[in-house]
Amino acid sequence: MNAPTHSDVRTQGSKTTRPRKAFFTPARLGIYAFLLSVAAFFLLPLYVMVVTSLKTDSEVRQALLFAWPAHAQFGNWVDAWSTACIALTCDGIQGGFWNSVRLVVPTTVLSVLLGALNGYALSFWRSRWGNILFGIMMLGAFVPFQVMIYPLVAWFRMGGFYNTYWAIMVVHCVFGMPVMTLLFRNYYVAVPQELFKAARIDGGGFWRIFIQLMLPMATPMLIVATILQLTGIWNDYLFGLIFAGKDNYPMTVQLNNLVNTTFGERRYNVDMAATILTSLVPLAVYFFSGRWFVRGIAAGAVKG
Amino acid sequence: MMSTASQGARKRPHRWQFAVHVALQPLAVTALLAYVGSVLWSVRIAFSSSKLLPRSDWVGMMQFERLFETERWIVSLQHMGILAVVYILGVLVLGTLMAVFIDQQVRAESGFRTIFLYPYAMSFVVTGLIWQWLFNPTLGLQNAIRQLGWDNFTFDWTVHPESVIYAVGLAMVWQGSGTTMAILLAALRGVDDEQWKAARLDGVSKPRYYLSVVLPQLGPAYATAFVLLAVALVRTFDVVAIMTSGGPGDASEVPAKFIIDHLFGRNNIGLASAASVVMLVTVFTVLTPLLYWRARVQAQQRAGH
Amino acid sequence: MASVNIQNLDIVLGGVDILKSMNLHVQDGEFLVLLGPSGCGKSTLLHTIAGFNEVTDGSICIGEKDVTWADPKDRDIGMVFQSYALYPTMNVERNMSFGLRVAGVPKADIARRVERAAAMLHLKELLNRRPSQLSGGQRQRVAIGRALVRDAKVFLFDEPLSNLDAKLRAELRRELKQLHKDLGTTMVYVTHDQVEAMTMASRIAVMRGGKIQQIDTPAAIYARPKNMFVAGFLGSPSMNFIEGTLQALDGVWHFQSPALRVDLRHYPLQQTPLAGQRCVLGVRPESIKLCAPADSQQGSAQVALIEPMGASQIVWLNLQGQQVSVQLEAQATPELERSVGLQMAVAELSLFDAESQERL
Repeated sequence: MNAPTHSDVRTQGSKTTRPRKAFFTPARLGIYAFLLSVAAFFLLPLYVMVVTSLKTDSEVRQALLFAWPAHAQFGNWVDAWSTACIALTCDGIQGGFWNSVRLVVPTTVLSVLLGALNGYALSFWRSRWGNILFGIMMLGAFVPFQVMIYPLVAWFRMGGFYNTYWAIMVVHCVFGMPVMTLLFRNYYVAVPQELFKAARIDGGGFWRIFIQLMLPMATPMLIVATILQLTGIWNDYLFGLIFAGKDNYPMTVQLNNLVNTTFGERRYNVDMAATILTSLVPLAVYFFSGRWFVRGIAAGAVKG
Repeated sequence: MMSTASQGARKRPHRWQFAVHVALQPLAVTALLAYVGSVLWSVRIAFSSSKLLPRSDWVGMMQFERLFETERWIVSLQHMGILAVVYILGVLVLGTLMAVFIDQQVRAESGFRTIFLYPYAMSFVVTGLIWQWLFNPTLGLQNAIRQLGWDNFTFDWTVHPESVIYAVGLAMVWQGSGTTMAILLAALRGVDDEQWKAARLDGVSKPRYYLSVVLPQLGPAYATAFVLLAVALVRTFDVVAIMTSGGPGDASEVPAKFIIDHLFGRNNIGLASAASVVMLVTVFTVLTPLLYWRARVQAQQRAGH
Repeated sequence: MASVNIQNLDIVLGGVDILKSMNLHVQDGEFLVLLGPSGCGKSTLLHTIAGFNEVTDGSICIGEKDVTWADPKDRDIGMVFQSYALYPTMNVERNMSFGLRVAGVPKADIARRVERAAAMLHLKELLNRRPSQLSGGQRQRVAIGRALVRDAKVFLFDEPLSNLDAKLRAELRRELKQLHKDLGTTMVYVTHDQVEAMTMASRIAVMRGGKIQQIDTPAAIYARPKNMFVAGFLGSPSMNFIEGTLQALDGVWHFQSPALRVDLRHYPLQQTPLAGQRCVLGVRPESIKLCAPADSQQGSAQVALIEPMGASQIVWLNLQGQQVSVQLEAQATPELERSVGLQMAVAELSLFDAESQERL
């Protein structure tokens, strides 16, 4: 696809002149037209979200969806954060934000580490028992979660920690384990056994090898796994609703309560602001992780 | 930490085995208790007459019969069928087009990719709310386009029972196309580009080349995408609950929502478990042959290079 | 069947001058090999002839047609790629007929052409198999078959044997040579392997840095290389290079080095040398015979190492610090550490100027 440089064609004998090579052929135009339309399709909701969140109440009622607000009302965002009403409390969605943070950070760390540990143990200790467990886990990844909900609820109730922080944390670890284990197992399987044997000869035990060798070695996978879990757990709605209990509702649950269960007039601008606030963390992770995010998708797809 | 080698082979494996056993406890507990255990228990409940609390009686297929006499369940299955076409097919087609067009050495390729993939980072709650807003007849897209001059533009699918499920499908396509595109694009990049030169020499046009030479090679990638989409489809709950609450009426009911509603709101765990078991069997019946086929093709392809 | 005429070709890729003012005439029906190390531009030249690279300046003619700006499919060429580039999801028959089907050639015609190519290449039993079910050599034949069915005037080969093991390579070399004999089509073949070039070519064009160093028959290039690069590139084990000067002794030009003195009476000098001119003597291992030190008028050396090769042997001599290789028959093994005399056939020598590295 090099654009022609100077047309300095020497005429010798029967030579054709350089044909005029148009850069914008119909095919190229078609490609860009398609890509731009699809991009518009994807950006439309985001645009509407942002624009609506910055409008005044009267501007919202005017229902000019695409119009940019006269003056950006960042006050709506402040409202959504600290004064919007969720059911009967009017403290905004900040509670949900901190609940989510409290939940996501330790749970991500725990589930990623568990995945790494499982992957390590399974790939360097090949045995029938290990393979059976791994096989069950892989099958489990396809089991529709609906089948597992009631028994989990019942067990948590029996254990006395239903609707608590621990319940939701355990749930996320359980449902995240197949993908996490698969990621790390596939990664470790590619590590030559010789490296592992050399470490054992050097006197390394199971845990020492894990912490000082295998874990640092798997940094790319750690990043990918962290991104997957961070986004997945933050964006979860149903498990948070069922298992976390009222005091620990994550931001997504609070968002739905804020928007879909209001008394009186619906303030769409504040609703949209709350929606943006809820999306900020995963979007930030997305933008700052670049290639890692795509690797995460590809790696998660390996399971499928 | 380690006993010396002179102690003989017995001692070392023993200590090692112990550590491994300890390390695999979480995996074992999760796999056996959380997965196998809960599936088995749900199956057991499906054959009982449990309502609010589990009962240990045996009622044979009663729950299943009752299930398929329940209008709402049948309707939810139909909707899942519609979504299977709209969502899965829609995403596969759109994802293919997106991947193929991006593969044409376009400028700002990474810019396009960033835009196409960001919906994946959004929660289904956010997606549901946005699209609910867009489908609002008075305040959403319909009104906005009408104000621009197109007086007959309608975009109020969420208001009408016949069309609301398609609205949900559209929102799901919006959310899911990017990931499928990423999978297909990665597979496209794995195709040896000397094949394009050979095809050019053969006088094959680019579209024909993609259709006849490239896409057939992407079988395993499509299988992967399909499996992920199918699993996501069965799990569809969030977007429906947020966007339409299953309404108007039952017009956008889906199996996952039916089950959750009966587990909690309607206190009928027997019926809900029967429904879950039906979902479980469906998923495995569809996925097992597909995964088997994919493994075979991948082995063939690996041999063929 | 057609000739290929390249005039004043300039190719710039990614801002780099790959080829400049390249002139090449491939004769009708010949098997021309473009030989050179990686990066010399031979693959680029081939791909440009095929139409995959843009020409910055110059012209390419195939037969009577000027194809400088023509699409690859309109150039009447067939090409075999390094990785074969077979369509993995189609069987052999469909691989070969795909282009014809797209062009709308009638079915009977397609069947006839495919059959003819399959017969020529021993592919008849393999027509229903897919590439993944074929061996490397079979895949290569299918790639050739795909080019064959096009009734092309020129065939282009881009290092087709480099992905095969040594034994298969030797076998397919012979088959390709036979194919050329049977078809008589013009073939342009790119490789970095000088054995392939020597055995198959009617002419070899040795390339380096985007320029053709020498283009001639294999025998001529082997016996009379134009410069030191060409001399060192062909032949295995490679030519010995000994530095020295030219001196006129008793009116006869001699090559003089600390250890050697060679009478150049019968050497066809192409330029008049200058006394004291620094030069390099090139002598191939098989051009040196050994004798008793007293019997040699040229020089003597110590036997340092012997490498038996089965039918022949390579004897390494220590010529005042420099290693010189001599190829002998297996029987006459000299003793190690012995002093031996050298007898070099002057007609087979090559003399190069030390500065320009050109042949004298």
